[in-house]
Amino acid sequence: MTILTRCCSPQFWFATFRQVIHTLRLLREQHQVEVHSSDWMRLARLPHPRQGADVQDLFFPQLPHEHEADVSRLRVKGFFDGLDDVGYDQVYSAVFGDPTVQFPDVHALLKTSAREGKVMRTMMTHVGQWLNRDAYRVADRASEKPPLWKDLLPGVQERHPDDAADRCLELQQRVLTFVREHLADFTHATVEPFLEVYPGHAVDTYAERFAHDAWRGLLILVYDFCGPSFQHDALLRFNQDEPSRVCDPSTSTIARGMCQVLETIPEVAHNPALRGTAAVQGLWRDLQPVVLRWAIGRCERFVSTGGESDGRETVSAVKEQLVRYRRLLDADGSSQGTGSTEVAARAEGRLADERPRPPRAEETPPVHDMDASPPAATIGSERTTPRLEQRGHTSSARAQRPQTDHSDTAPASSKPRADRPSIQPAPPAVHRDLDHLLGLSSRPRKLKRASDGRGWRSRPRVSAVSFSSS
Amino acid sequence: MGTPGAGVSIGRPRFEGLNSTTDTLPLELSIQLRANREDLSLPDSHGQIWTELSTLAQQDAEWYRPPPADAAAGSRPGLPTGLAKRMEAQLTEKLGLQGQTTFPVRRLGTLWRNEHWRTMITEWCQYPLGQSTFNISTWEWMSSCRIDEVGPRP
Repeated sequence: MTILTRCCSPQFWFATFRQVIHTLRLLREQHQVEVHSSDWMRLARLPHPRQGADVQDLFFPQLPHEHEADVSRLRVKGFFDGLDDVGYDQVYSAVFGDPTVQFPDVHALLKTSAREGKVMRTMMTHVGQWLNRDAYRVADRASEKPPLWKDLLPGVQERHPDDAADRCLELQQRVLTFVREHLADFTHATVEPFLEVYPGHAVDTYAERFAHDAWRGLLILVYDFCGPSFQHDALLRFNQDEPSRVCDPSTSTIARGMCQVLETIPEVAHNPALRGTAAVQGLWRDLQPVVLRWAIGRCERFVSTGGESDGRETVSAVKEQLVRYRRLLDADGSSQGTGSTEVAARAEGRLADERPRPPRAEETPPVHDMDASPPAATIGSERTTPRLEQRGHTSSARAQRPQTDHSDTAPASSKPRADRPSIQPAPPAVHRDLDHLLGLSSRPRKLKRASDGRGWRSRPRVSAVSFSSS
Repeated sequence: MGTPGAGVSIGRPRFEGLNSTTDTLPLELSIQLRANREDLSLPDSHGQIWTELSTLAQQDAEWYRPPPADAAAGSRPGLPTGLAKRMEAQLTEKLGLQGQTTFPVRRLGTLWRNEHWRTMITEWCQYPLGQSTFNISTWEWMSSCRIDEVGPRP
């Protein structure tokens, strides 16, 4: 994420605001300097951690080429314009001399999109329900809405009983940072529907999502922080099976993988009718049974021929896969209702109305939570696009859906099916990201003193005494 | 450079002549006279409006309640029912937002009623950087995410 690369540390709003206010207050009280927006933006570009040379390059970029330090001539135009040369040098000294003074990029942080915020909120709600059997139920228009980190307490305090609240905030920060870094993964067309399905909605199938890199990475992050402290029934298995070793074998990733590469095809990328969330999801739903039938056919042929020159073990493995594919196809057919029929019908052009339509009123479950904002199902510009199987649903099929409670925001119309396959994870990338994430600290990093004569100890002598104007 | 620790460094007076007289006027009237709501060339920023509101609240913690006479005429005065709407009406009146159909008064009220965010924004808007970066709609949705780090930390 662009924002994260520019921010000095993985902080969120309040932590960043506090840090900014701390710096502003320090400059105001100790140096009688008011920092304006344009000046702060330049200061925020300083690297983290910064060296003395970085500060010098910002305030006096020509200094290395000058023998005489002349503030009025060397200072940067348009930077702290309201200060005279003495004040400019004071600010320079303050920034140069105290590496603990931080300038987080608050402008970038404030550009966080509302959609990004909703995804972060949704993911925090998920994690809260993982760790809290009785996560707070927020009434639709309740005036009192406690912060989401309080839902983390039951899980966190098992390992951190003495400072559970602080640790909750730390975990929240790590979770939000991770989500922002993997926002594209969480909102990919083939993965985004998982956002809307909370543990209470799909106890038996909830864990399917952890076959996907981003979801699994988040699970590992939470596990590493809290230990085996999951409370929701949908995640109890991870108290025994370490998440980093879990790779759900009950899913097929072939169709999903095919769809993932779809948008990299130029012909698709250049055609607005073929790209986008709804198009990819529609293709995946249609493709899944076709791919499964193809896989079943190939496996059956392989087994019937005795695997040709392959050994007995290979045949046995293919048989296992064959059983799995048959089971997935059966489940796909039963949950999708008219899935295969619909594919055939569309191929014959019998489905007249292909246009997306918003869910019908009776398909919309109770809206939960959060400030009368749209439910999580509306995340993304194309969330109102119905799943194709909605057209195949009978009223009885709708009636069989699990009842939602106020903790679950997912419209039943957009729930993943029980057999929805996921993408096989790519562990190296996940672990690399996690190692990076877990190594991050919210504390300002210490600056190293340079030994090349340009470090903190050897601040160049730019003095107001040498003002040419004085 | 702005004045450090400025209190009511908000809005420019509509008329230069008001500079000397506004200091002696009641605060509420002073704010209304200083407010540049309708001058599209120099509208007050959201940060300036928040600072006005903070100043108003420092003088009168019950600013959002109607005058006693009006309250007596209404039904069941003093009950929390309808507090939000009453607050929005008072915001509109006291901050001179009448006619500002696009101003997010409702969101301003929502933020003000959130104690954690009210404290943070009030401190934030004490600085020029804060005043220029404060936007009611942006901050209101941030508060709605419920991921503010308000906890036991100082």
